Amino acid sequence: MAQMHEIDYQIFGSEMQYVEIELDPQEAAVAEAGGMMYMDDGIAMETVFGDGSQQKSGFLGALMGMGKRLLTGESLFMTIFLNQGGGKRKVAFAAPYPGKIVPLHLSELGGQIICQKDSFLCAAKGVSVGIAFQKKLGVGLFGGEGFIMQKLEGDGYAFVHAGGTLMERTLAPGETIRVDTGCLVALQPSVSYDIEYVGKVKSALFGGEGLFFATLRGPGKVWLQSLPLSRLANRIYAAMPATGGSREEGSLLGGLGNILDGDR
Amino acid sequence: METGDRGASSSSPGNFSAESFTALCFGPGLRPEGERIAARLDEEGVCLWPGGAREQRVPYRALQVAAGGFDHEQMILSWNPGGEQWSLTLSDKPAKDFLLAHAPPALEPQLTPWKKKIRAGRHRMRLGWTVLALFLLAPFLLLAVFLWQTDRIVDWAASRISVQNEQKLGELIFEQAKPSLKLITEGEAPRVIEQIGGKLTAGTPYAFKWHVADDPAINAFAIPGGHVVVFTGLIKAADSAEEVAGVLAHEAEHVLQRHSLKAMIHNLGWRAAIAVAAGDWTGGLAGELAAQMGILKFGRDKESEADLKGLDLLRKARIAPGGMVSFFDKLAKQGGAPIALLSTHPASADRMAALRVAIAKNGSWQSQPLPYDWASVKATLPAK
Repeated sequence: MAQMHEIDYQIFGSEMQYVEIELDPQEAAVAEAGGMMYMDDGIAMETVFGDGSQQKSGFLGALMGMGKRLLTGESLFMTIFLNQGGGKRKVAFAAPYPGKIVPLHLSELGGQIICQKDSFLCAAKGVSVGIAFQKKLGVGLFGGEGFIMQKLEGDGYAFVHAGGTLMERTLAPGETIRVDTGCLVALQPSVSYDIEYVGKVKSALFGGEGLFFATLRGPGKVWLQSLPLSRLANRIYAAMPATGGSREEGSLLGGLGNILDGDR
Repeated sequence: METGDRGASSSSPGNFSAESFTALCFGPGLRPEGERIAARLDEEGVCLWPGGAREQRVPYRALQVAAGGFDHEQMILSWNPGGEQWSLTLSDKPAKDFLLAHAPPALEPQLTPWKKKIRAGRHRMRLGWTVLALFLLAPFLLLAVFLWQTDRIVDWAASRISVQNEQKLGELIFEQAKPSLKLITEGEAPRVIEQIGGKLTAGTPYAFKWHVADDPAINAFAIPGGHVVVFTGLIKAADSAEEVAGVLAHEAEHVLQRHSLKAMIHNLGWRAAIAVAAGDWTGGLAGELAAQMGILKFGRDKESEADLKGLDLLRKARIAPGGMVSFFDKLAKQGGAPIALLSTHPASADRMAALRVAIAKNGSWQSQPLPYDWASVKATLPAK
């Protein structure tokens, strides 16, 4: 408990958010390299291997952490923001795409949260960012999140980022919801995460929902996002003139073309 | 993180008894994220919050045990008193081990399906991963098998190709190489080379064709099926017909042992195997291969084989073996500018030694000097 830093925070913005963290003297926050938006004078920035939660683990531990971070597709380094000044200082981290920042108080959530990879934004120093490996082949292949997810462990605050609008839902024991693959942001480890075959070829082919659903069975809390980044990226890519998209503005056919293909 | 907070705490002080464990409890009135509570097993059931104000007991027969959670191996005890849904999640190994070790007989029937499910799940998982790994590694396994059994595979493939087909292939390659070779058809040299070669290879299944090409390089090469090309540089560098006969015998053995063919198959097989492994099928294999034929290199063992078998050819043709050794020796000692024949036929000391040993062992045979005045043969070559 002693090594966990208790931080105060405030989230600004509605669709493109940033989180401002207030650090007491000698308190520190850890963030993915490149996530910082601004910081007060007096905050020292230090780049470390791994997540800064285990500074004394030695060379081998550092190497292991490095491998894990490579697996989750994160950068090898994390940045620690330490308040070296006398008073309270602020540092802010911005979300990389439209969506919501989710504050997770880990000690209130049983000490552990599993979230989709790349969603980690920042945390109080002492929170460890590890990997949670999906052992079920089917879930890893078709569950929408791959085999590797991030595991946040500790009892301080951690901030993760979700695309679009966030939905937080508490599942009672045995309660099940079906989720489109890719919309899962985070879940408590007590939640069972499985996949279910849609079962109807017609709806799989023409329903546009894919062949599988993710099923989440309680007890525990789950966080869902309305707009996975990949979905947004697909639409943007499809609309790009360079890739055959036809959404350019003010073209010769512009108005007519839009009438013809409607507006989706 | 408090370590005493998790798992089984058998020596923890306070109101925990010696046989309590902790687990995440979900239920009406509790925090939706679940609350980590202590629990104890006694005769009738699981006692939650033992010794506390909220102490309650769940009889074993009301419990259902299921596997679940993110890792699919957590132990979820659930019960529904009066329609309310309660559950106790044991996620960490110490707590699970504790429950398994201390479970009373009354809970055993519920635990068995859980154990079975875990075991089956692990089994399925291992099977699935093995299949996936095999599937992903198949091309590399193929490559490894090829690497391991190269010689056997190549020999087998070569044995499937008839001499006729090999000769057809050789014809094709020779036709392709022809424009870049200045073949000499007139004069003494081609006739003499043909006679020596014919004498060496009489009675072999191949119809050898001997050519002389105008090229200052000291070199000679063989194409599958029997085309052997000798460069004028080599003829000029030799001091006697026996020396040239040694080289011809060596080259003829490359053909007879199908070294070029095997090297070609080897090369082709490698490319195919690599193409499968790397998933790259950008054709153009055959043409490239044919172009490379003239500069094919053989391994040291192939060269030694050609040396020793070539010696047999010399013996059958009653040609003195000294020329073979002295010619390679001479070239090796000459040094200076790199000699093409040596770069494609690396003359190692042990190769020469092996040749000498073989000659000594077999004893010399009755040889007839070749009836050619080498100086006059050389004189008929185009001057450079």
